[in-house]
Amino acid sequence: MKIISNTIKGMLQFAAVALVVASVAMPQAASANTGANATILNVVTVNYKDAAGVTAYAETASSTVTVNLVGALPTIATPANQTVASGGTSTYVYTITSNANGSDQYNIAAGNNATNTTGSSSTPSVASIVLGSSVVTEVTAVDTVKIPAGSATNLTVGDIVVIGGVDYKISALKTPAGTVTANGTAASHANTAGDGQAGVTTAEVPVLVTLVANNTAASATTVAGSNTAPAFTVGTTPATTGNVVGGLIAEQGTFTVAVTGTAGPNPGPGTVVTPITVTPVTVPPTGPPTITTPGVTTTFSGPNLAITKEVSVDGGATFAATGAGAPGSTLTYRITVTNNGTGDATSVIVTDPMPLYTTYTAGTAKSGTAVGTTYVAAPTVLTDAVDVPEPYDFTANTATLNVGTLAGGATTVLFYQVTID
Amino acid sequence: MKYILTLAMMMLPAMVWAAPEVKVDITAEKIVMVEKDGKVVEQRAVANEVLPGDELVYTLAYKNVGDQPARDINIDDPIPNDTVYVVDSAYGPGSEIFFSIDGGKTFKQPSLLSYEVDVNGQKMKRKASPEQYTHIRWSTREVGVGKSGVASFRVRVK
Repeated sequence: MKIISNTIKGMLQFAAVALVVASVAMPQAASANTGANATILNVVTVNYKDAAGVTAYAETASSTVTVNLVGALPTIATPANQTVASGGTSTYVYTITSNANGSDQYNIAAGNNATNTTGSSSTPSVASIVLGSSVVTEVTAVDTVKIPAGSATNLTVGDIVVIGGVDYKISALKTPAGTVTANGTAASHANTAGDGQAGVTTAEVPVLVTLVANNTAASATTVAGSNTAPAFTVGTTPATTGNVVGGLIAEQGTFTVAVTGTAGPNPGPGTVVTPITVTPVTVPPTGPPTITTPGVTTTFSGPNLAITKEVSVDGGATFAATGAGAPGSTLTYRITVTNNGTGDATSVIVTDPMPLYTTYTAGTAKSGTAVGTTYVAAPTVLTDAVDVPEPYDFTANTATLNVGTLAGGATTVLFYQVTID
Repeated sequence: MKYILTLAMMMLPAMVWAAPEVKVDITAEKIVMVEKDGKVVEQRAVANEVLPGDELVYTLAYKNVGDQPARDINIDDPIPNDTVYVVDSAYGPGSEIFFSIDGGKTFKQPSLLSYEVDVNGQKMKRKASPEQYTHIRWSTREVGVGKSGVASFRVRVK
């Protein structure tokens, strides 16, 4: 049993490998651990001697394989809901972070699901955004990571990148020798013309990305950075805490979405829900081709007025919807207008024609701003004459109160007295 | 074409001294899973471009195109950057296969490959795992004139 030829042994191993491969490779590995456009250069060397075992020779051959981009849905941070005046504009700042192993373009579309809102629109600031990304192969300093040559496409100084869940800002892209570089230089191999001699392999010049804290301040078009200084664990082992080897260095972009609309036609607020759909140009190998956020809700404040009219038979102390009085007795009416909405009601005019069988008592009109005010307690005495700027008139047997703007939650109360004919 | 030329040159009587000349060729193929007759089977495809997670098969074909046997042939191949050696995938009929975990300085059989770690101040020996392999060597004592051989291994793209 000991005599087993190398050939058979090798074939047995080969068969065993095939089984392992089938079980491992079937669900396509979703997490990409090599930056796109990295070059896998394999240089094989054969060393040998002549029959006498004296003269040594060498020969080389090489193979170059390029690592492709694996499309992935980005991570989108949804901002908080906003409330604005009807007819106003809410501007939302979104962050979008790549999850791919290389640079890709992401197309952005905004939905507009309106409720009791007219003329609404949701408009992204850009139709698409390009985000660079790569995979860290080594941490060379607490603030510097190495990525493969060719994989730094669209990663530039000033970009915000997320590494290990924390946002940083790129301060430099350099070669290990300290020269500013955009994308490094891939490894290459050139065979020498002469036989029996090894060729020349030129090592990869990777890109070292130096990072600083992302101190971006929040503004109308940006979100605040975490302002965390990089403190990576130097090395190549991905296992240790704080080490980011094998993880993405993924660009984070921002875009804004402007949502406008006017509350109505019904009283009260209108709402617009704005889901954002992002489509990577490079289709992810598995899963859905797009990602849609649940959507922020913009509330357009609308006024919502309620009006009540009550009568008092005791001179304005207590009021009720109904009452009874003898001819010649005095009735005190109280009209309460409340804006139960959140937005201002403008051009509010209360008009009240005198009821039948009554005669308006001149000079009895008063007004207040609190619900439930008695006639006596009403703070403002109104005059009947048509005059400016006083807002109350009594003309054509009709009481007219020009309230003007009644803010959300505010109340105006009008009193006047009549006698029963 | 080059081989044919070399062969032609070998036949020239003007050739003054005999020498071995081992040519080596490398090809990279990727493993793709295809469904055939209701079964998922493995196929190989030419790999110019790969995705992370793909498996690559490197095949090293060598041949002695010289006019003298070659001795002490060592085919050395580093595990390429951004890839990991696939366990037990090194294959080489007629060759002894050794691995290195120190960048190709020393080569040993897998069972003899170990490294030292510091555990609470004590030096401990740990057996190297295939992920730590940096180089593979196929050693053959002799490749006769006109004889050829093949070696291969697989890596997974990180």
